[in-house]
Amino acid sequence: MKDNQQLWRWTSLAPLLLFFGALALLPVANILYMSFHTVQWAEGVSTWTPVGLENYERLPKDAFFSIGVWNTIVFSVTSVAIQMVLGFLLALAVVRIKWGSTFYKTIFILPILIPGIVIGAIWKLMLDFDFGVLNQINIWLGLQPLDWTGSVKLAMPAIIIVDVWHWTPFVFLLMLAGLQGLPEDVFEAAKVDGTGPFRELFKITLPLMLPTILVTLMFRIILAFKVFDEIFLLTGGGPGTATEVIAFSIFRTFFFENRVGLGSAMSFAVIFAVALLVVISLAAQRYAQSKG
Amino acid sequence: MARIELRNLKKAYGQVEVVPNMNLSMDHNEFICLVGPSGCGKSTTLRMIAGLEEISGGELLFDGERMNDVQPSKRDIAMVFQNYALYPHMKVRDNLSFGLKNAKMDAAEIDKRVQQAAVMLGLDDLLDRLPKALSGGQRQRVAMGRAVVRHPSVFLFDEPLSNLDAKLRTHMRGEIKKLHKKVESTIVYVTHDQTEAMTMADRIVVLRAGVIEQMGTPQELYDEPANVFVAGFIGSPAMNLVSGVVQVNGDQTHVRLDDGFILPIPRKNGRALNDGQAVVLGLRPDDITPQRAGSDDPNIHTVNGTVVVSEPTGAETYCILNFDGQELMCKSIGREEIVEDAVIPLGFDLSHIKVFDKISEQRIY
Amino acid sequence: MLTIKAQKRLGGFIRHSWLMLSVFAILFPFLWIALSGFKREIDIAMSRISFAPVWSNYEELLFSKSSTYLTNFLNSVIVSFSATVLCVGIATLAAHSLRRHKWPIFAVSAILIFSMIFNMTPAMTLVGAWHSLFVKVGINNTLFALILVNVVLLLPMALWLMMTFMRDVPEELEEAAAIDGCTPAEIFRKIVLPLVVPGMMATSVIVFVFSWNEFQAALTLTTKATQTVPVAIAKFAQEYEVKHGAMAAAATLSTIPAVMLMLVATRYIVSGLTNGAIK
Repeated sequence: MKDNQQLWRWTSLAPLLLFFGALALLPVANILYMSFHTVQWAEGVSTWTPVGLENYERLPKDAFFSIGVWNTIVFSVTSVAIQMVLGFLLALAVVRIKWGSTFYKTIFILPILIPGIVIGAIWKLMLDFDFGVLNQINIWLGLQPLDWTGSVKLAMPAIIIVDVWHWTPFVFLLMLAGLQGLPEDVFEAAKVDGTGPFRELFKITLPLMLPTILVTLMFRIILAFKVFDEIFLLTGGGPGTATEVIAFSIFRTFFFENRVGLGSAMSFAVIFAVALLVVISLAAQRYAQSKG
Repeated sequence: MARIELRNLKKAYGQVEVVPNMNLSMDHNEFICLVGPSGCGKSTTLRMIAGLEEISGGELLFDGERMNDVQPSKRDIAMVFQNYALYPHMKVRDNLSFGLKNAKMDAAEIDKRVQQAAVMLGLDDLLDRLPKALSGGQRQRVAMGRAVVRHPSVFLFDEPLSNLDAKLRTHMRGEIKKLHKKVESTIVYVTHDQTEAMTMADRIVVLRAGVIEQMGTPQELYDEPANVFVAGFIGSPAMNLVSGVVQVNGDQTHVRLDDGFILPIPRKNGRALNDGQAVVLGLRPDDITPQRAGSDDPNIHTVNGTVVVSEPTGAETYCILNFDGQELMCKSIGREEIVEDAVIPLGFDLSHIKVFDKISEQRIY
Repeated sequence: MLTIKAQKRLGGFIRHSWLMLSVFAILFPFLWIALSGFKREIDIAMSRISFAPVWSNYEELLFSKSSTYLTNFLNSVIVSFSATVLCVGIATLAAHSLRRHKWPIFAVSAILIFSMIFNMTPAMTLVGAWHSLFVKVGINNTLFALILVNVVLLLPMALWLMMTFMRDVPEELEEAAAIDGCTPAEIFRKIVLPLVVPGMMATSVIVFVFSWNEFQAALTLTTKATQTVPVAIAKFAQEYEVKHGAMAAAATLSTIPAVMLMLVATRYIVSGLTNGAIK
């Protein structure tokens, strides 16, 4: 009988361990191994030369990678900040209305559900220099048409606009769930105490929402590091390096430049950084909980 | 029918010993209540008997047979859970028959047992409903029905009434007692509510921190508590427990309570209190009543007190009175109104006074 | 001073205006691309609002010999569907095991933290390793390989979600079933599984959508024969002469599953998306 229990205990977990082991852990180990080599392909045969830390030493000097890191940070912080404010304001509006909240929710989840590539395609039409809707509006208003995806200055803001359009609804959903989970009696007490709407927002709603806000922020920032699809379609990382992000640098190094060793070093550096961020934020969360 | 025996039973989670060493035996057909505050190990003990919790040490015997490593379903037990644990996706009928079907019992026999249990517990009309369509009391009865159909030799109850309102709880207490009369089974019943234990059990086991503080019939625990903990735990409203010092003056023994109030202690055979000993005095509210004030009975000691709080419940009134600075809970029988701030004479029944040593907290008198 | 009633009305008006504006901002780009699918290239280039709708883009996409769109669509369906079934099945089993089978705490947290890190890592970091692994095993450029990658990419989210849904199954029920004579496998099948069906639905919807949308692995691990819809759309945009009409039509068609799920399963999607993040 005991054996039966043990057997089931292991069979139920084994598939997960198998997948994680073979397709997540093993590749990471493989990446780590490759990052200490240069790999050359000749007639379908690869030659591996161990180079020690050379690939890692090259990372900070690699023009694309360091710009990619910087752009990713700028992109994530700006775009997530805008999403947080807009998402919160939308949630605040929906939680206070009497009718139509299901309708709004239904519409708002649409951008989350469609492929990033399609979002790229949609905005390719919207942002086109010659016939894009945005420029049509500009002309109609008597302004100069703007080269959204083609100019160094505007490419990053354009990508950020697209990302805000894509992910604000997600922030909205989390904020709405958070707002709906707040204790109602606190707000009733505040009303009885004669609290005005702004004071209520800043002294009661926001402090109570802090845990939700922090979790959403962490979630979105780390996920923003993954951005690739829309950039691939809209700007291809350009013009120049204006929208070069980490995922793109890795893609370029692996598949255009065929520098497997260097690409692996980039990959491992990114995995390491993400792991570090996750562990730090978990530790911070635990610390906050033990304090609170 | 089963005689349950716990021999040096132990449960530890890592370094933490929840139940360090428990020895207990329960007789055929006995109704045993395990009571104690939360975290006292009563549920853990029950779950070890059920086989839901692994036993860390010692032995569990059913009729002399070692049960430590036997599967729950093979122990011939049935359990009623605190939150009923009805399978939400099955109708009442299927909830009742689920275990029997698992045991591959003959369909006709299953039907018979389900019918029997349904009649016994008044579930006839509910058999085709889902648990979510039942009231709290009905769910409770289905949970009991699911136990009954197994015809187990041991029933285990884990705080089964704690989710019901007060009125329903009183009603279900009666139902469980009736059930016990109909089925010949040993019942182990866990609760934190001493009233439940007092009203239902043949024998009560009071637990604290995994250790048995006292076991005995309800009357024994009420009249002869072994220590301060049991004295305070059993009885409602709780016994007045106040600390003081013994004063022996020739033939006369008194206890001077900390606030200066002095009570005489009647002489008992063979036991004595020492002068100057620090003690805790135990007096049940039932033994301090205005109705017996001024009685001729030598054990009744009459003192005037000031009413501080009065809580009428209809046929009787509980009130807190102040005696020379010492506040004690008293009980007035009858419908007579007790007015707050009034000074009234109270009769103390000294024959029921309990005296505990202040340091060991064990009863000494 | 406004009366309370008037104040409330004004507040409602402002909120609905703000929300309707957002609805417009979300829906307009969609409508625009849907309309563009029915435009001739010249109508798009002139950005005409009124035009004579044509089916030519769809005809070319679906029926022309040179178009692979139907194959792409089929590939996407096969990959997303298989990945969803596998992923949710594995995650449900594992979530129950991790919650109820008394694994050491450090092992459980190790698995959860690892899956969190893995979930947040760009897929691009591992495609190189996957590629060489699949070459070695001899399944490179197959749909099967892409399914495996989709499963592992979405396992963390599925596991996380199923853990939260598993938490809502009372442990007492499983204990009652054990006393009723169920083996561990039977407890899972007869008690746990029926109760987590809504949770599995929510998880499946989310996993399906994310798998349908997956691009980075699909781009790098497929050939023309095995490429999925997002890859096909990307190719439209990357050709020397961008075919905007065809791209719009392909993009519009590709949103069909998402729009259908949005209309049918809003509740599941919302619970899936929010549970994954805040519970």
